[in-house]
Amino acid sequence: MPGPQYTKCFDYPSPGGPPFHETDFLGLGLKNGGIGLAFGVLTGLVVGFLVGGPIGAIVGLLVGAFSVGFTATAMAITEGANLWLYHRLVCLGGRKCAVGSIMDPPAISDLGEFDNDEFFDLALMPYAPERVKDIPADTIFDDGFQGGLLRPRADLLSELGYFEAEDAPRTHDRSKVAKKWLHCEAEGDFWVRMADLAAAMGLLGGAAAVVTAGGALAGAAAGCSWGGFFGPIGCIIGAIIGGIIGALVGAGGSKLVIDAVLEGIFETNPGDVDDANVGDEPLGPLVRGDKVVVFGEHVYDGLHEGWHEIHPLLAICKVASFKTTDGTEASFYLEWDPSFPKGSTPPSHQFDLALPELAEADMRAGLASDPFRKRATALRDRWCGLLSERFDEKVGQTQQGLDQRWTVHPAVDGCKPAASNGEFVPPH
Amino acid sequence: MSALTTFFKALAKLLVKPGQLWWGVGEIVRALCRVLRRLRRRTPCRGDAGCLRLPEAYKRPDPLIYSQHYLYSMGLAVTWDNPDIQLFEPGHGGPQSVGAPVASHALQPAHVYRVRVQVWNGSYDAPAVGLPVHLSYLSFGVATNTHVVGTTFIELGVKGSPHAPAFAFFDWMTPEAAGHYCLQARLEWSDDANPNNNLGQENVDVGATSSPAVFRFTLRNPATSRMRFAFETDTYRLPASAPCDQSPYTQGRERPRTRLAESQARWEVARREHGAGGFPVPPDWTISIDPADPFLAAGEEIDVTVSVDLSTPTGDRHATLNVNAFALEHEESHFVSGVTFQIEKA
Repeated sequence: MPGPQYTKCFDYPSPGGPPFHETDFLGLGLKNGGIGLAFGVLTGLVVGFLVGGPIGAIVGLLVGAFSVGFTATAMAITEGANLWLYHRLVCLGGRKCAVGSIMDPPAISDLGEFDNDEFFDLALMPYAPERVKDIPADTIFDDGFQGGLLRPRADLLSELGYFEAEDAPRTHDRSKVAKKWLHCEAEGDFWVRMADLAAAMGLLGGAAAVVTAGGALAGAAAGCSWGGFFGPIGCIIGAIIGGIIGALVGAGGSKLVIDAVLEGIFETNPGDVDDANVGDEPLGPLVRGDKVVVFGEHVYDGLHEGWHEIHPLLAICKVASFKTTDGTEASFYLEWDPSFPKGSTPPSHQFDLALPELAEADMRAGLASDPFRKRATALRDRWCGLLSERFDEKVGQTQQGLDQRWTVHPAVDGCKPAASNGEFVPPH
Repeated sequence: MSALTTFFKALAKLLVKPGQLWWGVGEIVRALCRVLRRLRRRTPCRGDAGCLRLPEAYKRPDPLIYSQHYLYSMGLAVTWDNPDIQLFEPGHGGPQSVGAPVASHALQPAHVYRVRVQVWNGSYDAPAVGLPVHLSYLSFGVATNTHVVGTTFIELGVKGSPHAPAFAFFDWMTPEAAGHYCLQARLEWSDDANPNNNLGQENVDVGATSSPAVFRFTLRNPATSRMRFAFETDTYRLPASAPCDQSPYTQGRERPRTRLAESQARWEVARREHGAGGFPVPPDWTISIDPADPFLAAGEEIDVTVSVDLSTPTGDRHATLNVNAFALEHEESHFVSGVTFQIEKA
């Protein structure tokens, strides 16, 4: 089964405006909280006072606080989830495939980054992970090979900007675009679950608001009784201090509970693989330097600093190595090495003997060498061609046929499918 | 005003799903329980290289051929008449064209044959580009020395795609010395979902029922110490492929929900239908193996003679006898290899 996909990219420009940005979260909270405040606390306070006097006002305040907490939390989560899932990633032309080398070990986002996606950076073939940062961006963007996946789109560059440096504003100058490698993210389900849980989280938010308001009231009462020794002014000052302390204690306690709940939701779906066959060995790790092929949606991620990425990552395979006759480890993967050592052997072309053999000069020239470019293109096309077949609708249908469900060996647990004319045809 | 309308509409939408609300409350309680449990046994790390919970996106191919050692280790009976290794006269249309098929027991000396190795992919998700297929030949027998024929690189697509199965072709010139030879094909993939099903052998000889049929094969001790060997015989052969609606793997069964469960269910049926020990030699067959329990020095090679007397004719024109060899060590037996004899009736 392919990797999960919860998000959907949108075409930019769109009536919904620019993509959702992480700073928009605060606005969502304030907007929904403000509306809740206006209709919850004030209504509760006034109605409570009119019906039940001061005691009624207190009860009304607590009911109002609950409605503020409930509406603000539930509505902010619902709206945030929608924006996160459907108005954050700008489509760049559908599903794409790329071959490259992993730059950093894959990681899972922290709760502080608001999702549980797994991600890594990929130095696109033929750029070596340790050298890619030193190569001018334009050389990569205009390499006529895979660099096109990273090349800034003119309207996005001018209107939204691209990543230049950590904690720096986005740049609108192409020469300053710093993301010269492909970011890849496999999606977690945090925001889908948050959207499903919005109402229940609203209850939690309401309870937190009641606890906070209750804490403030209790603190105010205690402060007033202690400050009352100094007369009405002392009572007021004590009530204010007590109210603040009570509210902080209440809010702090509520936050602990809410954080724990979010953490629990965050870790619900760690991505266990349950689509293996009997006899399959555990998946090994993906680590820095692994040569891989990635396949997924090609998008501009507007959430952070702005860059192109594969999101979601639907499939990733390692480009395997093998042992040569002299026992050394070899791979067909190509890496441009401007200082390719004299006397070293360029990668074999045995996967297609019709392709040119490479000389040391080709390895030093990289994509500027025609034989090198042909080899790199052939390798990318073959991997991407075969990996894309997995996502072909017809192949998907064929895989569901009973003749394709063998797991031991086709000669042991295989079967013959029925042809349309009623005769039986052997598989393939 | 319209913002307020939208707000209250969305709020109403949330509130009209009370079922979801209670389900959500349950989820929150479960989430809290998870966190409390985790506080007691924290996972050692997250996000570091080598300590990563991988997403469903990471896929590995499972290149495989009919692999006797693997299937036997999984409890199945095996034949050495490998369905994935086939010899042909070379065709005239290029390195992948084949002429008439040739039986592996009827080879001419110093003759070029075209060997076709059929490679399957057990993975629905991951292909293998530049998959090395190594071919070698051995003297007919058990654990004999191997001689490299060559390596061919193939492109293997996902299961159900136009590129699966894939075929590797080799031109093999048989040795000058006449005799029987075994062929061994091995697949090599460093990120293989199951690296144990990559080695297949074709060890077949054919004889007539000239009361008794007599076969010979070589037995070699590949170990570095003296070793005793024992033999087991059975009559297992691969069944003809059944139409899918009559297959024991699909009849009267609902497809399990996960691939792993489906695979487990199929293995269960396979062990019932093809289980090792489930194909005993008929009581009216007389078989003698000489020597029956040889004790060989390291690297020593001997000839073993098998005579088969089918006193009662059966309905089939062909009978099959598999002889599997086991090395005995400290009261444990290890499956070494085997040969298949086909007995053709006059």
